[in-house]
Amino acid sequence: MTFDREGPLTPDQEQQLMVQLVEGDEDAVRALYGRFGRPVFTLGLRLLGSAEAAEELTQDVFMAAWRKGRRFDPARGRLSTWLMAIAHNLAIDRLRHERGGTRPPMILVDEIPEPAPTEEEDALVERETARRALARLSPTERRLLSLTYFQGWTAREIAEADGIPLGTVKTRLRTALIKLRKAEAEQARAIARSGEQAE
Amino acid sequence: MSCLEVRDRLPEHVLGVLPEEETADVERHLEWCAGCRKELAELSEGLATVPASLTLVEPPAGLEDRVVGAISVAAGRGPVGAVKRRRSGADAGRGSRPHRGVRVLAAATLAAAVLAVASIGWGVNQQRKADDIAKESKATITALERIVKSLDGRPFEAQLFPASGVQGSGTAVLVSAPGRSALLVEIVPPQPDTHPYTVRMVSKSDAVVAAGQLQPTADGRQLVLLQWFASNLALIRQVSVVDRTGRVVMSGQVNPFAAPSPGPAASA
Repeated sequence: MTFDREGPLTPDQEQQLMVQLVEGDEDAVRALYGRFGRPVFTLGLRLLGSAEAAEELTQDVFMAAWRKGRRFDPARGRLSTWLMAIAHNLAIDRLRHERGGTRPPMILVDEIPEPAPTEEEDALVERETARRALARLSPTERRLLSLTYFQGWTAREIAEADGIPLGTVKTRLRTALIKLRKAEAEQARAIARSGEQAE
Repeated sequence: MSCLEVRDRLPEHVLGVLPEEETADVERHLEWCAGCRKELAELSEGLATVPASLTLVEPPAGLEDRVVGAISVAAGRGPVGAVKRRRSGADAGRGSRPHRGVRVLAAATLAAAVLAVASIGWGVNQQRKADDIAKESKATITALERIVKSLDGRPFEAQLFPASGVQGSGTAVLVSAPGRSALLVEIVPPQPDTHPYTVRMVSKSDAVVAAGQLQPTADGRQLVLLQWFASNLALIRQVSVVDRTGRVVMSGQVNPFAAPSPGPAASA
């Protein structure tokens, strides 16, 4: 089976893509890279702060996807979610390793300079949808997600720094993630409705 | 760990910040608990919004070929020409004619590895292993070619010889370019087996650089490492393979690869 570098894949197609990736099929590797090379590199750049580190991370992520490909189960979630989770975990591990276990500085993601964007119209809708979903979070929830996702802070570290109960931090994190999921789902439904009306 | 305890930890687990000692317990629970897996999937979907909100940045040209090359090496196949290529963006239009010097380099180093294994005389099984490597070397050469081409750098090689009391051998190929270098190490698993094995490089000023851990290929017959560096590897003088106890099990001196010349190795 051959795969395009963009466009939606069914769960069965995602599974087949990973089967062929594990076999080392060049077409599958290029299809996976075509779909996720930029998001993975972008995440690496934002988390690790340099193009060199982001490049190394990207290579590590695709190698990890090849090694772990048999474990991918489309019934448990989308391929993009699985792959970006690998990317995030590898980057956070690297951040922790480089910082020698010391607590990372408290920098909000909004303070990180935005890299020069590439002209990519196809991703604009998805990005705008995601940004609108994030805008629905309270400032406290956005800050918590920023500290954990982009800086690798644990819930306990945040609780200690802010002087609030650990349970409160955990509850807020869960609330934020559920809010994002609901907001995304609502946006997707709205887009689908507007598409139907246009037809 | 109960469902209540697991769900308390799932947000941190999804965010990748759950302490290691708790992660294993959570993952064990998730193996059999569909309810907690559903909660995990929902939280993961929510989290996917965060990276999706970032403005995409184009990766450097050539990175795609390096990813393809690395997986081809690890998977033990390099089907250039056999598989339809789809190139796009920065990779489009780049030359695809094989670099003869690189082919000779790769062929020479791999052929040397096979010869070294065969000459050690450590049994029929190992001889078969060497024969298998010879058969697979063409695919590996193709993958290596692609990697070296993407760097357009200066190649070096090192034949890795076993330490006393160890059976095994391998090769290392270093490609050094300004600001971007690659190291490919490929060995037959040493006997006795004292894995995991890591690769170290020693510079001309005797600085030791950890290069990473060797990983088994898909068929388990070889161990490989492909590592990338932002620094120049031209000053590396020795490559060593170290076992879990810190003992050097094989090592070799790095030499610049001489100008290619046609010979038996080139047809490997």
